[in-house]
Amino acid sequence: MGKYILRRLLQQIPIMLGVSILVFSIIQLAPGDPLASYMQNPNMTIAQMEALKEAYGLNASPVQQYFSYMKNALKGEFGYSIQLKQPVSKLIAERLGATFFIAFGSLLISILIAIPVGVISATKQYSFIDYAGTIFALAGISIPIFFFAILMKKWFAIDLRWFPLSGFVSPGKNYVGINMIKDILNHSFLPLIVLGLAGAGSLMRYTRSSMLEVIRQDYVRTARAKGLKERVVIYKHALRNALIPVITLLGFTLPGLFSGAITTEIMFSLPGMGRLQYNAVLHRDYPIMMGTNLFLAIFTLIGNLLADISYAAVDPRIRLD
Amino acid sequence: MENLLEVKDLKTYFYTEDGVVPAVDGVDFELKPGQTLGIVGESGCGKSVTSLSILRLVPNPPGRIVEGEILFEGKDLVQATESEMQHIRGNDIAMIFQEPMTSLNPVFTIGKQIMEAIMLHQNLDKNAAREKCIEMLKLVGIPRAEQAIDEYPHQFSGGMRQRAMIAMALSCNPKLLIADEPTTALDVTIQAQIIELMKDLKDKLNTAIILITHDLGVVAEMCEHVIVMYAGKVVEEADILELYTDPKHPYTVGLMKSKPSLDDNRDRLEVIPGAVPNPLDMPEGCTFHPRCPHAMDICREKQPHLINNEEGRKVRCWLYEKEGEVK
Repeated sequence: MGKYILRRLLQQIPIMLGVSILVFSIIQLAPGDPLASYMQNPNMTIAQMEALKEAYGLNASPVQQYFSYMKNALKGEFGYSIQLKQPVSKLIAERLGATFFIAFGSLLISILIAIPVGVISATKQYSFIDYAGTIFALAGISIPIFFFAILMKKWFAIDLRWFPLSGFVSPGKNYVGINMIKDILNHSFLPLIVLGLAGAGSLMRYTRSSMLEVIRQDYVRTARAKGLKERVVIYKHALRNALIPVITLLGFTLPGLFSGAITTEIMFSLPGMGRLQYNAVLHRDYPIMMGTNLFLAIFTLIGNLLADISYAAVDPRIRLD
Repeated sequence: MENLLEVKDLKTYFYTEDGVVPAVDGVDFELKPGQTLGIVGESGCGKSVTSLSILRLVPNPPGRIVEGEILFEGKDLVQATESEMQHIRGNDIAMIFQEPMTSLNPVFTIGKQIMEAIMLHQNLDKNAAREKCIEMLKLVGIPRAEQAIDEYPHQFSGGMRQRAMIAMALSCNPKLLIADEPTTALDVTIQAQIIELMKDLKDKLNTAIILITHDLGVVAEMCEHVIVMYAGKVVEEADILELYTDPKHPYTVGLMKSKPSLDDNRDRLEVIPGAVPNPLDMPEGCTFHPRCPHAMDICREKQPHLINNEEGRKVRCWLYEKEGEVK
């Protein structure tokens, strides 16, 4: 197992190199550059412009730029944001907490809703709960997040005034300890619900169809023939088998949670990676675009690795070495 | 001796979108403790549904026991509650299934699956259950039982898995073992081994067995009494020797003829012409008449009854029902 993980981690190195080339090329291919906004300044002279380009290293060929970027990146230096004039690593580190909290919190909510509802939908197929779950899933999949977010803000933040409208902490309060946690939970409740419910839909349908297949298997009948209680048959014998494909899906969802939360972060003005990335794209802030994308790539790879490892943990037929 | 099991007029129907399928349509039989009963018939004749009905494991919906009684030690299982059934399943009545490859849960070890039943019904703690499990695995002839207990089903061959299934079924000393085509999915050598094992265990543990099969050779090896089913009904019932030497019902005669034998050198086996009727569109009268070489006018019009003839044999055929005696 340890050997397998080490081998897999080593395999990630060439993949990361490939990803960095791809991301760099895409960014270069996009029209505009970080200095485009300066062009609109009528007092800007061509000489000043050239000096700026020289300073940011934008005059070099893309290949040279890539190599100098990677040389620094390997030393742990991801450059400075052109727009924000701060180190990229510091900008990412500042936003990591909120992003992680929202990502894992909403994933947890998705799982807690989707798996029980999916199991009940499958065991009581065509019942009221099954239909209700299906409608709920359809809504979760098809309602756009920005619209759902606005709706939730309207109901719970404006009409009922239960939760704050936006932000991650109350500005100027500087809470510490338990009060800080309370403040953060209060602010993140709506975004967590929005993302959690949106993710629960497809996960629930997936659990349902996987479970429907499993409860027709011979070994489920064997479990019943042993005299086990229906609860044990379903939640021990059947669910464990039904979760195997669900885990694969979760492995793919994990990285999506970090980037896919962009809309939610913008709607609720959360200080997360998504917003950082969004603003960077608007301003063609190359160092941030590179930094955040590489960061997401690392998470995608870790997510896949985690999925493979937990796959082996649930299914003894899968041997990792 | 008192009957262990009495099935009376059992009717299990499936309510499908296309109509009602009478998979089991009025089946009667009885079984004494320690006795071995064979149920034979073609695929789709209702053998398996009969056995699943006894344990109340018919998938519902679409299947449902609509009529009849299943008296096990005098208690009607059709009326029993789910929790009473859970107490009986695996404990008093155990079952082994046709497909050893898929009947064991792939994500749990063999030992865990067997111990689960032992701990549930015998109130043993984990260590005692493990002891008992190893003992059972040895009893069914699994080599290296101490190691095999911690292995997963995919590490077992088909024959080994069926042995493990038998160990699981017998681990709580059931009074009745239902074996639903236990050897069908196995190759011939393994089949013989499994049959030997079951015969051996039957003598050791004095378990009554219902053996469901379409393999007449297996029936001859194991059973004392046989019922032949066709299209959800019992068409003939007899002791094993009588059935083989003097089959009465034209369907049984056909089955016997279609059995391959080592002594003859025919290129082709005899077959019963036609196929099992579509359960949604059963023929009028005797359900076998379209395939029967002796079909008479009355067979096309009226259902024959299961009659007891002079020698105490039961057969459902107009050939043996004398005019005027029709009930």
